[in-house]
Amino acid sequence: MRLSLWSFEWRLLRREPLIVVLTALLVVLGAYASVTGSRFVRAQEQTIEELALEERSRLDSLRTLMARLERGESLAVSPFADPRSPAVAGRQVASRYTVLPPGPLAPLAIGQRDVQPFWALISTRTKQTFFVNDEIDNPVALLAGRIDLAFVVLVLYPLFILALTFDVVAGERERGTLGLVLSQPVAPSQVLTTKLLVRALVAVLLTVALSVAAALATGVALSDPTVLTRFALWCGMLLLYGAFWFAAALAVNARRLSSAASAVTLLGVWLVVVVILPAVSAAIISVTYPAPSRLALTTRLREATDAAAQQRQDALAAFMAEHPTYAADAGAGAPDPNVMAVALQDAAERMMAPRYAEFDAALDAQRVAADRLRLMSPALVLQGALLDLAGSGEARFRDYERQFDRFHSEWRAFFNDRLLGRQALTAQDYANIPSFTYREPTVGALVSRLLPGVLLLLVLTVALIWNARARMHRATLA
Amino acid sequence: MATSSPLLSAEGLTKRYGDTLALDALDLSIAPGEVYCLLGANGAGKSTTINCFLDFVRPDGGVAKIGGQVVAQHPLETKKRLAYIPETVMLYGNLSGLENLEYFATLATGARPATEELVAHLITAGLRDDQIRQRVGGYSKGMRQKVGIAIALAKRADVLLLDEPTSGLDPKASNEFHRLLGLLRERGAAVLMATHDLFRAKESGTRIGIMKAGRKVAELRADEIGHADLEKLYLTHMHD
Repeated sequence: MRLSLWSFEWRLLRREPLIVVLTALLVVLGAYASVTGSRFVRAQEQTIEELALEERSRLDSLRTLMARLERGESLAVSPFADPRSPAVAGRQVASRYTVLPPGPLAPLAIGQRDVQPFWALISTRTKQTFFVNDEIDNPVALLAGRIDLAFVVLVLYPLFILALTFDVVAGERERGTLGLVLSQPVAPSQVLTTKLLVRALVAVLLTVALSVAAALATGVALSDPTVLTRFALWCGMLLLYGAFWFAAALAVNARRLSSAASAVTLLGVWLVVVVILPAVSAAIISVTYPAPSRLALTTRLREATDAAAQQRQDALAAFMAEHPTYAADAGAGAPDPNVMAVALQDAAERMMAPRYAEFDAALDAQRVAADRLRLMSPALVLQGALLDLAGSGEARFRDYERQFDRFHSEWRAFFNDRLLGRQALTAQDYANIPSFTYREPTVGALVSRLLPGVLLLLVLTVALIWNARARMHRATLA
Repeated sequence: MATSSPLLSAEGLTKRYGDTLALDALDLSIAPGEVYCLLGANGAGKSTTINCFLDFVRPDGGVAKIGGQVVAQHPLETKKRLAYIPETVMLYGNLSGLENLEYFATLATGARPATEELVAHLITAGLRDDQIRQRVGGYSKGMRQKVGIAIALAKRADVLLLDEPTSGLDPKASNEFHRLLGLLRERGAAVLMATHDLFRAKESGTRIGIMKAGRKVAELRADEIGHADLEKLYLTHMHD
């Protein structure tokens, strides 16, 4: 019986012209979004390849030069380009690129990745000067954001569900078929639920199929188990989001509204959930947790550097106190200019330490607030989840910055230790220059980030279904 | 008195909408093989009565019973044996008559009946073979009513609730409908029909009730009165 009802509803739905139009719209936009996504990712990957190529050829020629110098060939090398000098190598010539590669599902969700930097050139200099994003791009496109699959899913998928379900009861009442249906010995809740479920399921399956097609077409590495897990979670989130909209449609259908009133009600809900609440949440964040200014921080750093330079002797004295082994061997004369530079940098950094801490704390507070405010709207929950799963989210970028910081310390230690040890770099050192690889968060960490949103969607869905059940009497429907 | 134990009965059925009494302590009793015609002006409470038997309307007082079961307490059980034919049987326009019947018969019986069986019901109900597989969107009103009858046949309904089923039908279609009604009655169905058609009420009905403002103001056997007298009686009640 149940199966017959399902197949009948499917038959009914198949014959509606609306489903063809909606499917075509979804497929066209999905295809467009996939092309946008894969182009964006390919452009980033191309840049990353070029960076790697440049780095390899530069380091290779340095190694060749080192080998020749070690063989004792007499070459004219400028002191500012001498690969043997740890200061020169660490500051510039042996620099490596620290890359944040596109996330595992990046072609499906670009998010803010087009405005965030995705690489930096490491150096022993202060880190604030590293992040650059000088890709040339259309500012209008940057402002509006790109149309990626996540956007299509976020905005159109609920509309698809609502278009198919908004007037299931009211439409049948207005066309007169409802009376005949409800005069049969079936619970109205069963009829209504079946009708809505079949319709919602069509939208869910289509959206999941669209995601699968997009993933395959854009070359997402589904053969990798962790990527596959992320993709499965992506599909799971789509299912949950669909369930929420199904429940919303059910709750409205269970009320005695005309189809026009149902349409207006559900469109209103869509507008609030998908447009207004996200805007409100963004406004709340920008007012209560404004993004700290990187420009101001850089200005402060410059001031600190100037201050340190004016108190050279203090800076040097502090440095010598911190590095007694180096100080013991240092003569009375003018210090090595490279060591002096490190001393000044350390002094400036010391002055800046509280500012950095403030800056990081402000960013973290903003991110925590944004994570909490996600819970304002199912659309924000989905958006956050899709970006996190795709590896295009804010959290991953902050994680990259943190890993970058650790790498920066490692880098400075590598070169400064040799500088202070008065060691020239060797070919062996060139084989061991630290390199950076971004470590993705574990699936477990991702899941725990998704959990509050998943719970919210579940609670809302259950509450809406509960609310609908209480109203699905014959008397209220017929 | 097994034959006269009513299939359909209303006991003190009362329904209020705000200050207006739509039904005022209505008593009805319809036995198998009876066609009970409810006459009355629009708003007299005929449809409300039928809706109480369908559980579309919950009475404020009294009970509607089908086969001895109280409708409001056993909505699903009572619906198993009834067929409902409204003024226009509204079907799914994108499906054929056969597909519509298939759906409603499945809803009614809980299992998908064999196609040949459904076709036979549609033919019995008077649809032509070539019409059965056409989309209902192109059906005339008479054809839709025939699908309604076929649903009753497929369901083996022994209670028929008809709400002005022939209003707007041409005389030939109306005649055909009443022929089918006779068929169902002969099979032992109890029929409750709200109608404005005094002629048909007299011809097909076994008993006639006249309603006014939610009350039954007259009840008589159809074979005890002539057409002219019935019209006179009806108008007398409508005038005061």
